[in-house]
Amino acid sequence: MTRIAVVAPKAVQEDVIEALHDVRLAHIEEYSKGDEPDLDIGKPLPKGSRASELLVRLRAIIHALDLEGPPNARFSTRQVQDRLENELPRIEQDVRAAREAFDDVDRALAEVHEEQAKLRPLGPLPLELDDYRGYDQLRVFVGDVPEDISGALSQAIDKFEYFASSGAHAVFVHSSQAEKAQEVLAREGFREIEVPQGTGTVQANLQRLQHEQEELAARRAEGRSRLDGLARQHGAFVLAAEEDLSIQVEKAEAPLNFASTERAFVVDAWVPTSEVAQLQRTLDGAAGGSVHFEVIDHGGRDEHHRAEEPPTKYDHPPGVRRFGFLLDVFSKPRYNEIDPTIVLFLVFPLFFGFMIGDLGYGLLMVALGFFLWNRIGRKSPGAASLGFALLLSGIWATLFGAIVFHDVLGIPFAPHGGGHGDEGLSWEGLLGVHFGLGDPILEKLGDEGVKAMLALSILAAFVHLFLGFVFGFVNELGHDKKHAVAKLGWMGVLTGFFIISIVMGPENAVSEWAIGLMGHPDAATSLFFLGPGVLVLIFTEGAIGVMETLGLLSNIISYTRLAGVAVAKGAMAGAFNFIFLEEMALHSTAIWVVVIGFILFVLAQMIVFVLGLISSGIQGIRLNYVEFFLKFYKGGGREFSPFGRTRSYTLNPSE
Amino acid sequence: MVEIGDGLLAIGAGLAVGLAGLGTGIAEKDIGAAAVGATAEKPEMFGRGLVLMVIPETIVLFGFVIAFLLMGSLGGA
Repeated sequence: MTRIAVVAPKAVQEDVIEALHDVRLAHIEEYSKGDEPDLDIGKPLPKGSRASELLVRLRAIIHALDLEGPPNARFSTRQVQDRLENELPRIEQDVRAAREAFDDVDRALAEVHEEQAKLRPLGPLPLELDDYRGYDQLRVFVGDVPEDISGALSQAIDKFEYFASSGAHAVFVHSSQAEKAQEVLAREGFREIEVPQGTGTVQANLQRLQHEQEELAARRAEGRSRLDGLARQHGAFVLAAEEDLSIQVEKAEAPLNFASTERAFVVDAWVPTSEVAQLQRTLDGAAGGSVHFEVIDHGGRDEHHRAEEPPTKYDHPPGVRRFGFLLDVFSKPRYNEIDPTIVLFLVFPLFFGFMIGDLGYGLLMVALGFFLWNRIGRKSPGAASLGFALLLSGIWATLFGAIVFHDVLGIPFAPHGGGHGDEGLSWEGLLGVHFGLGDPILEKLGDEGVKAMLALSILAAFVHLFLGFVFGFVNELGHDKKHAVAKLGWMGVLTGFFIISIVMGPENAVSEWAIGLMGHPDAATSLFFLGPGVLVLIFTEGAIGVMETLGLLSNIISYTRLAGVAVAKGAMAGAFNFIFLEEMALHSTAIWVVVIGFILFVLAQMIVFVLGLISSGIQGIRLNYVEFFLKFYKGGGREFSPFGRTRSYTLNPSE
Repeated sequence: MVEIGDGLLAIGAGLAVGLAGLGTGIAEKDIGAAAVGATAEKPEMFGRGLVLMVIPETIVLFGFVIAFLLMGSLGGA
């Protein structure tokens, strides 16, 4: 990323702005007044104010008609500008009239619904609307009450008339006894409702309102189709005009970011280093050679203390690009930091897949991920990224389920214990075939399996965190030698902890393998790493660094959630399967138990699937964000947002 | 027949993790609420908020380690 300054006379300012906007390569640094004593900020171009006026009106139309979505026609800027001034007033008028009429009908309809809601509880009562009001000596209470209160009333009041019904209840008392009645009613939980104005029976009124509602609904549909018609007729043009005018306003206001004198202006911008030559050529062509360039900053990666950090532009290969979204959710990388997106791309699906570890769920994830990515992802980049991540994780989950765990939907391929007798559910048992695949490499619900998975998690922690420290080391090399050496100390401490946990943990296949790989260390060997590591930390980070080693231990153990979630999901699926599939559906004789068993089995599988997705996904990404990133990542980078935009509704003048 | 010693060990392990988890939950609850509030106002705070929120996780991991050690000693039975 190179920082350049473009200096030119104001005569060519408009041309320069046009060129910059079209080429979309320059991230302009705003010039703040007062940075330089002789330079002021520029003034917006005059055509901007008229464009802004029109823009407000256009946006009102877009809002009134609910216009949005991909364009079905594209206009050239010429067409837009020629037609706009003439057609806008008429379009505005039509749209406003239609919208107001529609809103009026909507409002009337809401009022009708309200009245209907008020009247309905009064329906079951044998009274007409007139009977509720107009009395000199009587008080009327109408409302809801949980149960019949005539008993309670008769204790307090001697003369009253009480109407109970499935809807509202009505109480008529003499005005003198109104207070006593209110007390009783309050005690009994009486909630008063409003009696609407009107005469006649409730039924007659409800019928009248029903007619009104139907009429209004018809008018509403008419209004809606009128609006839709206007949208179809003018929509594309209005959207194109809005886009063109927005661009005009952007260009007109660009000088506010420039530094300027009476006759010249300066643009301060970041441009990707590979594009600088092209930008210069374009500007020279646009402004006829009266433009002067100067490179202010070559964007070297080793300079770490600039006044302004360059903005960060991702440079990912196509697949990895989708994971940039996951990184942005956390924080964009700084300019001279290592970009961990590729690691995220490799590691997150691996963790996710391991925690699900089931062929059936894995395939479902692949399908779901593909759907999200390809269908919904067309409109929303967030959904596309999530879908792609889900797809990759699904592939890993399928692999783990098929090869390592031998699990499909929580049911193992072959019964535990070698298949003699009734060891529980298995696909071989269900389908009556013999796969002959042998034992699973790791059994999710077995003693040995769990210990091995825990050891595997610790191993993953070691590799992942070590990588994190390596990144941290590289990041800090240019920055601060002391911090870089501290990372080496951390690596030592990490290795020491790893050796201890493997050697002193319960025996299992993974630990045996790891111990063999490391040349059979014992617990004392770990001190060989811990000792120097802690010493380095004392020298580079002080006593606080030593205290933080416990934090590192907790980070390592935090990775055991990989095993934890995997086992938990497996156990949940196993339990549900046992109850619903085995006991109810397969081993019961009553037909209704079998049917309900199947239904509940399907429901339980769906619940386990969704819960698995959520918890495994979140835990997987959390391990990356918190434990991994914390070892090296700073974030807080700025996004590269170049001046200009791609047109969707209008055609570029040069096209 | 499970011996009383083993039973007590198991109860101890359960209490260790359970109470530690309770403590961590209480600690993270307020931090989490603050983190979500900060993120709602300023989405860039998400990363920092998430990291701050999981700092008390160390507590439950200590409980887990104790439980694990306890389960280890009864595993022989």
